[in-house]
Amino acid sequence: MRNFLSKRSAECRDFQSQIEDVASATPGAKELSELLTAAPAALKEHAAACSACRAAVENILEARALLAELPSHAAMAGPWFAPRVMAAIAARKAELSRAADTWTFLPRLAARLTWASSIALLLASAWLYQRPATMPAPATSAKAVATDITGDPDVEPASQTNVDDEFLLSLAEKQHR
Amino acid sequence: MPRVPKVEPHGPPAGAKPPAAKAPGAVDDRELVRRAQGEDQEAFEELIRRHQHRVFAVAGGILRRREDVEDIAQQVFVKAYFSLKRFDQRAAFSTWLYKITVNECWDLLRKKKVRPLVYESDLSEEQARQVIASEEKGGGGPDISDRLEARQRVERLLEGLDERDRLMLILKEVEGFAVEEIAQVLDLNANTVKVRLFRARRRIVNKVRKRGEE
Repeated sequence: MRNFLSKRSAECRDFQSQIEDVASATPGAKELSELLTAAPAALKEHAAACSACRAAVENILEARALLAELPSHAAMAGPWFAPRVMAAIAARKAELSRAADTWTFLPRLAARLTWASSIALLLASAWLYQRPATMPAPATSAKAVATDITGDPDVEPASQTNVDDEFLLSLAEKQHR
Repeated sequence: MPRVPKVEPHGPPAGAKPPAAKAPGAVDDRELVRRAQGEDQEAFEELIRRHQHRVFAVAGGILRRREDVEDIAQQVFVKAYFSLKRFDQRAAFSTWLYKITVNECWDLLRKKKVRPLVYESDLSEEQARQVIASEEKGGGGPDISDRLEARQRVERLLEGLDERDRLMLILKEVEGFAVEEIAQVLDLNANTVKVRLFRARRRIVNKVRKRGEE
């Protein structure tokens, strides 16, 4: 009994695997008998004897009838499609080459900028080196004189120095006499 | 009972668009990729023409909104163009493209943080015009509001599924992808895709039945 059942299930597996190919060969079939027309005799015999496999075939027919309501998308593609794709490819190529141009333009510009800045630097340093010293020395005003901690000026004013010198000179003359 | 024999995998369903419909003698993807890697614009344009339907289908399976799908599809091809030099052709160009598509879509959803489902109010003017036009052409078909309601109902049913299972179902039943292609898109084993499709169908059919009973 067990042998019979396992043999039967193996046959069912084979049937269900092969019925797919048979169904593909008869796309217009609406009934079991029509679908099995092109099937080998052994398949027909099995379908007659096995209710589960008959039900599987009926499922194929029923599902096919249901799905016939849906539109096919394959038919949407027309002669307009290939030129549209080629135009999209050309646009993408142009976009890529523009992007590539931008990246090659930058290093070229950078090289030119380097040259220009080197020349400018050279000219500027030459001018600075050779320019005449026309700038006047900064004048020191009495207000600008720094003071020490007591408030006395750090540098003695020129007039005071002269007075001291005269005083020392007069002392020296007196000693001579 | 005899063991069920293996069936050779069939090609894509009759209603589905081939993954890369090539005219006899046309250059294969590998050659076009090689030329596009050498800056051949025409080769890349040819690759777009070959794969645009599949990219729209995958993006549509995840995003559903027309405007998003168009934008993402364009973004996928632009990204593919600028990454093409790094593509070593160890995988098929389509597989690589699907992966970019899926990643771009998940990224968009993460950014937007919205559910990728479309509701009636989300229909653009153009979509509404298309539905009306198809309605006028169809003549005696169901009323436009019935159709929109039915579509909305299906979207709600799908909402209950895991995102990957939903994408699998849409790619299989709406866009006509083969199981092997879905496996490529989601980077899964073909048998795993079959098992998950089987479970996803059972789940939505059970939901419909339950609702019918209520």
